[in-house]
This record gives sequence, structure tokens and C-alpha cells, in this order.
Amino acid sequence: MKKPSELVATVAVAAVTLAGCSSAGGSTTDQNDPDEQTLEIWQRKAPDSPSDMVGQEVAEAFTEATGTEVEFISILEDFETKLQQRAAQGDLPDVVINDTAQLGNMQSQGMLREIDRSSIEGADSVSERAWGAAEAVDGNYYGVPYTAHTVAVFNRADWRENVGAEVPQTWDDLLELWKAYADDDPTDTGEDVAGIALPGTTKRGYLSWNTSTFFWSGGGEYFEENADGTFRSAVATEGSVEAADWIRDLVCEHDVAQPGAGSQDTTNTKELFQTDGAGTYLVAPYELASFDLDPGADVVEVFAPPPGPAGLTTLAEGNNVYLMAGSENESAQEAFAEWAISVEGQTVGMAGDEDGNIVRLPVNQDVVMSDVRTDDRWSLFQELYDENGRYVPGVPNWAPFLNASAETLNALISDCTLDTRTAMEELDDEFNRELESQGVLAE
Amino acid sequence: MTRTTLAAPKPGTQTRTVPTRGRRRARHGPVSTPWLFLAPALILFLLFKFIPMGQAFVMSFQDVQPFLGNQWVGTANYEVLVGSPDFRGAVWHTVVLAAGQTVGSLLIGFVLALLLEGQAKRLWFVRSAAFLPVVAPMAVIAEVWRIIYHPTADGLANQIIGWVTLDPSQWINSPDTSLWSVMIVGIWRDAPYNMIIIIAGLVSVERSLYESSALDGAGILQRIRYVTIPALRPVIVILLTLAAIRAMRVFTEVFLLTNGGPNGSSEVVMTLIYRLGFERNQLGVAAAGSVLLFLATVTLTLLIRFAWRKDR
Repeated sequence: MKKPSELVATVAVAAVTLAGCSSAGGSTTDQNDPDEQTLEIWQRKAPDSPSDMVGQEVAEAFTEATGTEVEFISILEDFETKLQQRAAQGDLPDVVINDTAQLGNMQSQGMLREIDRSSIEGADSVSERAWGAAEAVDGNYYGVPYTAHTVAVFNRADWRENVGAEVPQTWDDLLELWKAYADDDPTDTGEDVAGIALPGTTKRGYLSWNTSTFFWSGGGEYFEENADGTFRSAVATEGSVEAADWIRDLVCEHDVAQPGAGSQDTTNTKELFQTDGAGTYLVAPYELASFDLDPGADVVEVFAPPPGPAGLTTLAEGNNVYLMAGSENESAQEAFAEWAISVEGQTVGMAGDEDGNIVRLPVNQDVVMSDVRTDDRWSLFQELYDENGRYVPGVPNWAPFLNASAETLNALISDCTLDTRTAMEELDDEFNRELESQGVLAE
Repeated sequence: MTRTTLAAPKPGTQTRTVPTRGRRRARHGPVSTPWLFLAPALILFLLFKFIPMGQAFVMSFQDVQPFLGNQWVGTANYEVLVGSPDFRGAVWHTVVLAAGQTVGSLLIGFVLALLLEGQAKRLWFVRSAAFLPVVAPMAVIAEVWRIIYHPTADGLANQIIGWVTLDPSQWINSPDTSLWSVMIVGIWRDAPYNMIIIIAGLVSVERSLYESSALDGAGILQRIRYVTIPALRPVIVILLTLAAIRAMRVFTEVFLLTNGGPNGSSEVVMTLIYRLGFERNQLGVAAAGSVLLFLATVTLTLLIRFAWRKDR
């Protein structure tokens, strides 16, 4: 409870703070002696997880190769918030390994060093597709690609055999399979199961993220992109509305998603798939190891999503090595980026067939997958990435669009009385407003 | 502030040497003494409360870019916030949730208190059991209620409403019921807390008043109406104040149960501020929301205090 006197005090403090408020600079920083540079590297992974262990191995291998000492830190919860706090102190970590989709967000805040591709040793070995995800809307590069992946369908092979279905080749087959799971008791226990585990929450934009493969394959587009780097929303086009309708009908028409999907995130859906609650789950290969344990390697199969009305496009993602601005260790930053994309650096990050790899699909084309991993399912993901993978659009900051589209899709699956076209038209307005505020709306 | 009396001088010891002003100081110690005692708490408050609050106030007038440096934007953040339909929706939901949760938990807490007042051992046990929701962490409560609210016919809550032949509800998964579902959880958690405070208040009610009103022919309801409730007035005012403040800042249960969804149907001011600040990275707009929420809380508190004083 506040007394008036305390209120006055608060305002007084505010005034003092106002006067003392300083801004952190992004200007050139004095450099440490090149021989004595050390690196603080952050990655967005759970501490003490297998990925953290692989990260430590990466750090050790890099130190061994170059002599540069590294402090390698894994942070999962509130990663972006913690980065903001360091930014506010003007003391960013030297290197951050983070999602390609975060590039615009960090670049627009001046946190990233621009990369001169030609000066990075080994840059030519990295696939052009991966470099595309390190390029900002201004045409410059602000990260060095490190790992890539895309999604495929994880399916319960035993259930599929129980309902007498083949591996689906079309969207109709896929729907039939899901309906069979939901209606025909594939487990022989009488328990209700879902066709597909769908993370339908708006949190972190999960729903839009998870269904973007279906959205694109169904003929949807987020933007119409012009050669001059400007955009216009395309979410209310015929193809987009139809694609959104198809996603909505998974819940509203066919009822093949798990009950309560609209409030569940990937932790819930992963658990659902692992505990015999759903027959399929569309996810990236980082789940291979854990799905081999539960529900078990003998019952899980992985196949490419069947093509939709507009063919097959799968969501490509990955991590870049970001060299953070304001570092006193720029030559060590560059050395790490060069080492990370080398065959050696990629191989250490791939961690063989172990759980916790931080390089999923190598971005260095000289790495031969079968030399590093025996599990041949990885080549399916490699093929999908090379042939069908597509990164999220290169707008300056993708996060607001991801959130807004997740909110619209979430509304559609939560309230089946809503009209898809109207909802997508509202989203269209919101997209254009956001494009305008990011300064890239086409005339 | 309370005056602290330290080292009260013996009569007559200092009067000869020290003039009147000095005598006062001697009786009460140096002026700084109370401040010294208050210093540890004040410094902590200053560092972790008042300075961050001040910074949030400043940020609400800035385009916040931690690394590039903040830019002054005047009242633009407030205009963006107040102009957005999301904010107006969130304010409305917060008001509905605050009102429903406050009244609901007060009523149920009152009924529970009347039922469970007394000295018997078994009452002590039942009271402790009823109090459990208050001490359980909100994260645990939210997970338990997610299970209770499972939206199929075999979900626990749906089985219960099935006994009175109601159709299964979607609970937190439908825009029509999400806010009410969150409210039920809030009432369930807050009612026992109110119960304990009201029980403490009931102890102070003069027993003879019940007896004499009974002699005068008052029934149970009349005794509650004319004896219990007036005697509990101060307790109820405190509970109302606390509950209203708590309800304005409701966050954890909404964040964990619905995250403001589906379709924004349970978005409250705090979840909106969180979303703006940490998911959309508009820290300035989020700070503007926090300042408005703070002002609303202060206003509400002062109003309740004022109404109470006037009443007395």
C-alpha cells in the first residue's frame, strides 16, 4: 500500500534515475591483445542437458585447436530477456549461438557485427541456402550459419499397421490416417488417442511455427516480397485462406488433434506423443534420440510430409553463430566462426549418433553425413532440407508476425464459429501495419 | 513515523548544561537514529523497488533499445497502448476477473469461516485441509487444474457437471468459458485465505450479542445480518483492499492456464504487459502499461481507504 509521501518519493527517484540514465554505445571498442583474447559463448539450450555437454565439448575442441579460452554457457529460460539485460549493461557475450529467426530482432537492435562473407575462411563450403538465413533485409550478413534442420512426420508405425494403412502419399491419405487413429482404436485398449499432436498455444507463436509447413504446402504465403526488400502481406490471398482453413479443420471439422490443443505447447505435445496419446507429430530431428527411448525405436517411423495442393515446403530452421557488437575480442570471435563451420567444428557439434547434438544438419557441404552418423534417418532430413526446406520470411523482425499469425490460428481452432476469411483479413491488416512500423511496407 | 525513544535521560542530569532544544534531542536521541534503524530496509527497497519503478516510469516515455540507447518518444507508448483493442480488452477482463474473484472468494470464505469457526480438534483439521490451496505454489495449482479442466467428457470437472446433467464444457479451451474457468481457480485459491482472516475476526465478536439477539427472537440469518457482518466490517475492508490489489495484478494463473487465450478471451493487463515486453520486445509500451496499472492500483487503494475512513 502506498502513502502519498511514498508516491512523492517514487516520483523523485524517477526524476533522479531519468537524469542518470545513460545509453550503451554500439561504437568501436578497444581490442584485447589478440593472443590473450577469450570468448564468452551463449547458446539457447537447457543447462546440464545433453546439448550443454556437447557445447562444452565444442568449447574444449576449439580451445585445443586455437588456444583461445572459452566460457560456454547454456541458457534456455528467458534467453532473450537475459540477453537484453546484458545489452542494457553494454556488455554482451562475445558470441551467441541462436535461432536464425532471431537475426532480424537482434540486428535491428544493433547487437550484431556485420559479417564480411569473403573474409571468413571456409565460407564457400557453406551451403547458399544456409547463408540465406544469415542475411538481413538490408542485404548484409549478420551471422555465420552453424546448423540447419527441417521437420518431418514422426509416426507410430505399429498403430498404422493396426489400422491397416499405408504410409500416406497425399494430404487425403494423411487425414484418413489421422481419422483412423482417432476413431478406430489403434492401440487396442479402447483409450481415446489423437491423430496428430498439435502444439496450438500462442506462446512463442508455437501454433503458427508448427503448422507453417502445412500453411506453405497448402498454398499459403505470409508475404509478397519485392526485389527492393519491401513486403506486402499475403495472408488474405485465396491460397492462404484455404491453407488456414485446412489447419483449422484439423480441429473443427475432422477432430484429429488432441483435446485442448489450443492451450498446449511443445512440452505437452512431446509428452503426448511419447505416452501413446497421439499417432503423429511433426517435428525436427532433434527429437530422434528421445523418441527412440519413448515411445521406442521399434514403433516410431519417420517420413516426409506428403505434398499438399501447392507441393511440399517444409519449415527450415537452424542456428547462426552471431558475433556480438561491442566485443573486445573480435579476432577470437572470427576464429570461432571459422572453426565452427570447418569440417572439424561441424563434426564435433554433430556428436555422432548421440543425444544432444548442437549441429543437426551440417551447413558445411564437405561434411559427409554417413561418416559421422550411422542412423540413416538423418539423410531423410538432409534431403528434405535441401529439396523442400524454406526459412521464415526475411522481414526485419519476424517475431511479431509469428505471434500475430499464431493468435489468429489459435482463435480459429478455439472458436469454430469464426469465419476463416474474415480472420485472415484482419490478420492481413495487422501484418501490413507491422510491416509499416518496421519500415518495409511496399508502396 | 513512530518516534523512537532511546536512552531516556534521568531527570535532572542534563538540564543544567543543555538548553531546551538540546534537551529534546537528548530525550529522543540524535535525529538520525530512527533513519539508521530504517536504513537496511530502505536501502533494499530503494535498490530493488523504487529505482526499478523509477526506471520503468522513465522507460514508459522511451523507445527502449538496450544496446543502441533509448530514444525519447513522449507519450507515444501510452497512445499506442491505450489505442490498441488488445489493451481495452485486457482491462475489461481484468476488471471482470478482479470483481468476480474478489466477491466470490469473500463470500465463500465467509461461509467457510462460519462453518469452521470453533475450538474442536476436528475443526482444526478441516481448517488446515481447507487452507492447503493457499500454501500450494501457483504453478502446481495451475497444472492440477489443467488436468481437472481436461476438455473431454471424462475430464474431472466435466464429470462433476455431468452429475447435474450439464454437457461437457471446453473450460479453458473455449473463448466463452476461459475467463470464468480462471476465475473459479482464483476463488478456490483465495477463499481459504479469506476464511482464516474472517475466523480471526469472528473470535472478537462479543458472544453476548448473539445471545441477546437470539433472546430477542433473531434467527440465524438475522444474527449474521445484524451482528456478525457489522462486527466484521474492518476485516472485510482489509480483505477487500488486499483482494482488489491482488486481483488487479493477476498473472501467474492466467499465464499458466490460458496464456491469455484462446483468441485473447482471458488476456489480462499483466499477461498483455508480459507479452508486449518479452515476446514482442516493446519494452517501452510494456512499461507504459505497468505505470497505468500502478496508478490504477494506487487509486483503487486510496478510494477504498477513503471510503472506509468516511464511513467510520
